[in-house]
Amino acid sequence: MARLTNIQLFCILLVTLAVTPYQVMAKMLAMILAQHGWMAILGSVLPGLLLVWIYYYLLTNSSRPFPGMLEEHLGPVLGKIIGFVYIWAFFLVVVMSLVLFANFFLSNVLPGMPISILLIFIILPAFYALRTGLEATARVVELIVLTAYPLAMLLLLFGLGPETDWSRLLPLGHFDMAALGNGVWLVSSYISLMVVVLTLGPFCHQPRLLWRWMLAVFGMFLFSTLAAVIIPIVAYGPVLTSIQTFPIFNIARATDVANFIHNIEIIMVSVVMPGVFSILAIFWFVTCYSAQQVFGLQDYRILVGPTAIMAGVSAVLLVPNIHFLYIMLQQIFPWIFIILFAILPAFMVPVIWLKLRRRQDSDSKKKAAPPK
Amino acid sequence: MKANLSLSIITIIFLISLSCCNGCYNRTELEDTMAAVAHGLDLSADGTQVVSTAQFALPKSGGSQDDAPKFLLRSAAGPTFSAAEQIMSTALPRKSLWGMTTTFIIGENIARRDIGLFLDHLARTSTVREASLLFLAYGSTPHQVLAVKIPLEDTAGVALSKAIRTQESQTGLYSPVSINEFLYKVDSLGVEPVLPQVKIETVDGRERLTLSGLAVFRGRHMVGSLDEQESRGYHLMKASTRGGLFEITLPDQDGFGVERQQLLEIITSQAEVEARLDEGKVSMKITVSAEGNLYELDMPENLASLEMLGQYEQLANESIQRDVSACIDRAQAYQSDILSWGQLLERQRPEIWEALKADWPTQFARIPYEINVDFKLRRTYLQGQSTIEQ
Repeated sequence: MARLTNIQLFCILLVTLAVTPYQVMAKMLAMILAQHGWMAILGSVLPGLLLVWIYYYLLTNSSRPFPGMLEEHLGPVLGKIIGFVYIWAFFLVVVMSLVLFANFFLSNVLPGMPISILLIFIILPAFYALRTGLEATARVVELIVLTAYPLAMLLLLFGLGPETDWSRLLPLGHFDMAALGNGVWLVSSYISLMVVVLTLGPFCHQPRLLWRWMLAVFGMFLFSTLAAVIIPIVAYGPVLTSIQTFPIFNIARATDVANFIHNIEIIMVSVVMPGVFSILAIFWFVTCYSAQQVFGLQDYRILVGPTAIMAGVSAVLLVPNIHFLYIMLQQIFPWIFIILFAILPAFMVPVIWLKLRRRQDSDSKKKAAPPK
Repeated sequence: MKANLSLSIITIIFLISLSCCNGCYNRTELEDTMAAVAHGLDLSADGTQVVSTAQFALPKSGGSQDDAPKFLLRSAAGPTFSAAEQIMSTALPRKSLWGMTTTFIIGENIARRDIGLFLDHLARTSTVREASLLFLAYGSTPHQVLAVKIPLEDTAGVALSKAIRTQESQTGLYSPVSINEFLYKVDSLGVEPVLPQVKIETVDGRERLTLSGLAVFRGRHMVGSLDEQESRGYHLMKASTRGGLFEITLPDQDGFGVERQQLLEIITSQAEVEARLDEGKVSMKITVSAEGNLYELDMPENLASLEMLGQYEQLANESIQRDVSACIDRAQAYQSDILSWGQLLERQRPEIWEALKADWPTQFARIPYEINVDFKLRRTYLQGQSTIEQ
């Protein structure tokens, strides 16, 4: 069985959580909440902490990795049926990451490049990583986080040029509570991508200490997403942020440090690219591993080739245009993520608790019963 | 072993398939391109089409450098700017490199008709860089502006972007306006944009470009201009500025009937605007705090006197107040909130803003204001008293 260090799992979870919001959350929250988008991130602290607790509770009270734990707690039939649904949900995240990056790349950098060639370039390294194994992938992700994450934050800070106006975040009050609720729901749905910890957590050296690393990841996610949401607003204002396709990319385009450092958008792309590789490889692994668990296969690697082709084809077919992509990111994917990655695990908590309670009762009855 | 072999085969097939590709996508060879350093956007004379003007930098050729043309100017008309550029490209031997453009000149015709005609080109096109500077060709077309040869600089586009950055700290009249800033102000409620105007002047039979006033917009149209005094007032209304010169006029103390001008320099200035509510009526309180130096005396005075320095400070206060007041009056006359008072109201008194925003241009024109200036004279450069006085 593959083994991960806690720091490797930390890096994996950070990439899983931070990459997609880094690319699109500024626009989506500006569309919903204008200059108050950052409040939705603060508002998601409680749901996020609740999710961390739910995942940790499931991890510490299960003997099998997800989705095997579904069979453990819900029975083999129901467990396999729900597990089968999860295979497709994880696969959907793979396709979403592919489509999002393809649109990010083709909108801004090389508009003339055929999407099929670009998809091959993204899929091939992830394919190689998965064939090599989880440990090698985790080592690569570790390196990516150590190098790309600080650079990604630095690029955002460079966006704070002379035209930055912090008063664009004002007024603090006077926002629609329904819009704030919508924003919190949206941010929370992307926090629920931390669900991969249920699959990868049992591979960890010290699963009991995972809560610390999960909280650290959540803190880093809050910091990076706050920066990615606030900086476009103070640089462009909420209206422009909401109409730009990728405000973060525009930040890189407009960066001009002392009339010396500019035209750095290609560095932004080269930072996002390994991040996309990471989230793709992780969710792809979880997809194949889930299929192995559900169908009782000997090795997940046999599924990497077919799913690679499926992912490439689905990425071309799933989203006809960038407008539809944002509809999916804002209105369709969050529902799927919340239901499958948050509500269903939350539903399992009382099931496990009742089972444990019943087991404790029966154990105590056995102890209390006089020996025959 | 078997897995490694299959992976190697896949990789080899992939690498071989790359040879079928016709090179790098969006590849651009330097020797096949010509860089557009300035770009003009205007309306055709009959108003039916837009006109795109490009100033291409020409590579330096060998031999005599002075007589060789330094730029190539081309214009084309079309239904949109991108279409016009396509038409332009049919008459050019090389591919146009639009991403190098640092200066955009907007024609007065298109600015007065509808800025929506060029906004999308600036905001959507990936080859347009948001940090590029915008100017308005006042009383001329972008083609005429870009055709002017500027000594020391190869192209008018480069000269203009250098000139506005240099003069900001020297004269304190105009600030560079980037595409980013312009788009923000056009798209936001409670603020209107301005653009520095470029004028063609003829001196000794030779044309030259000067920065002259600011073009004022309301909604999607240019509605007028600020003159030099009003532009200085606009500059001083910014939250923070550095540099700039202004004159004060001393009273006729010696009775000769000659007004004496003294030149003062602003080192730094900060402006604060506060929205006030008095019996349901909104008013604005503007406080300008500035520090400066004595730059040049028209008539030598005894500067050793604190009383005289105090008098200079008082006159400077009045001068700055006049400039700021002139700017506000002009903006209110145009009903154009270039001072972003609407945004200020939204941030400081959102409930009032909600009530006023529907009819903001009219409301803005009626807002009373109060200006307080606090100018402090700090230094007198290399001399205290005048040489003649001694």
